Amino acid sequence: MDSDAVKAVILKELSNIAPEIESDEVPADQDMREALELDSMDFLNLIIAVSKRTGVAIPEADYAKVLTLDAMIAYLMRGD
Amino acid sequence: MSDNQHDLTMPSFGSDMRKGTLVQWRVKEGDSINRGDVIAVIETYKGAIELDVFEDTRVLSLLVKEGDEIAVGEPIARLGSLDHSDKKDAPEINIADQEEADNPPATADINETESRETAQPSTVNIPEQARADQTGPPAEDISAAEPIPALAPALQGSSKLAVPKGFVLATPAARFFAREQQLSLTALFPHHTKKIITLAMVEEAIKAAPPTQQADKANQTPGSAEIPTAATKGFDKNAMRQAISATVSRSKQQIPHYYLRQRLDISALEEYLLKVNASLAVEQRLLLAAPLLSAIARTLINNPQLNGEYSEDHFVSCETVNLANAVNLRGGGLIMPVIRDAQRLSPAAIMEHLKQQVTRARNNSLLFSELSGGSFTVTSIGERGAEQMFAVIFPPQVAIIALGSAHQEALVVNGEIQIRSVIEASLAADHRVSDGRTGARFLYQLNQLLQKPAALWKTATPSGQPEHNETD
Repeated sequence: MDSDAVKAVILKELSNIAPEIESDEVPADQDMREALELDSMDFLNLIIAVSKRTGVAIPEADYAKVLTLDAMIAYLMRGD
Repeated sequence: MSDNQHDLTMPSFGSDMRKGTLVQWRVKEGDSINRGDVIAVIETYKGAIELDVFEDTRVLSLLVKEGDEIAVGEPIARLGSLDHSDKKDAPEINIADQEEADNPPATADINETESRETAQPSTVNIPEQARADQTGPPAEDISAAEPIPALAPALQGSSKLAVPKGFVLATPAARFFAREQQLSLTALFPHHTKKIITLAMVEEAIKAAPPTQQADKANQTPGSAEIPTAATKGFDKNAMRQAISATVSRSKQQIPHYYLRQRLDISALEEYLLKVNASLAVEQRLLLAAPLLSAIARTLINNPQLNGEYSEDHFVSCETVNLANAVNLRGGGLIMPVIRDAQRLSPAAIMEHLKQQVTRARNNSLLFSELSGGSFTVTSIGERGAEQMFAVIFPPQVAIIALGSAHQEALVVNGEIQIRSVIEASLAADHRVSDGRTGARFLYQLNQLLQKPAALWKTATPSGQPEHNETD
């Protein structure tokens, strides 16, 4: 999976969680929880969904490494 | 009129709801339905809610059309046992008149409200119908969920009252409880005597018929997948704001709140949870809210004065903890799904409920049974919110706990300054029911329990397993 494909997966799953979020509103380098008003349940659901789609496990200890869109893409790419 | 016919009324999904639109019938006349089946979809300002029933019964007639807007308490369908299906073609018979004609002396010496009550054979919805005729103070009208006062003493007093067939004498608390649970007293006590049914008897009868856990699965059967999503427009923001406004205004005007604040040290819980989660697959991981709710429920069961309902000038404590959990809806709404029997559930089971309820709340597919019968409310500001929040009691409940955001503070522990993770908890409770000492004891016990987090995982359900193991 290249980074565009990973990005598309994340954006798709984000829109499942928060349908009103437009893809181009998702900032690349800001904490998604803050920028998109995701609560802890939303964020957990995002982690579950992208883990499932990409096959990359994200342990709880690594949550801090996937808080922004860019960071999450990078993390998932490394895990591939 | 058979003993087993009764009307299903437009339910109240909270004391702040006054009417709903019947969007879709999911049954037709003559259908047999089981406890837990979804009978209709109701659109309210909270969004579309699936109305599930609490009894095994049969649909005799549907009294309203799809698209009709119905006031809370108005009959929407006539239900009854299989034996009486032959009467399904005659729903328009004016039963009240018939019964009055059959029993004129019975109603002659009691006041009008009572005569209506006595003459009405369908027991579930009587309090609301009688209420409509009352001229009480305007504030009372806000809540359709409140039963009318003073019926029970009058009924109990008139011991020579001839009881019409199909009418069950019951205390207001019993009637109110049965109605909250969407149960008919006639169905619960088919062989009732002239004895007056009490709240304890209703609770006993409900226990005897354990709830089915199949409601969720039933909704996912292929058969229901093809049901058109007639009501997916979501909640009505303005109507919800108005309803919240009416509820909190009434609460603040009528309930003498007292407030207590307690700092909860969650360091041990966080540490324990990290270990638990490290061994779990991502879809089984728990959020901090799960063990917190579990701890709150277990502490509440020992503090009955905070757990129950206040109505008709008296408090009835609830034997189980039915924990209402405030969920924020995107776009600015608030909805409070209930986790029943929460004191018995493991953190994993609570987590499963939370996930399902948050998903259903946001997908607009909550079940009626999930939105009713809360005995206590928890509201959390979330991870990045304010450190402390003070909440307004959600009537007819008598207490609410508000959890601020988890954060770190320098605390003095055993004579040393340590960095600890804390949550500021505030309790608002009803001073008519309890005093500050009660609330303080509850908060103290809660904090104590959180210092021994392993205890929360040790107590399992009787089967030794969490109730909900399945995940998607």
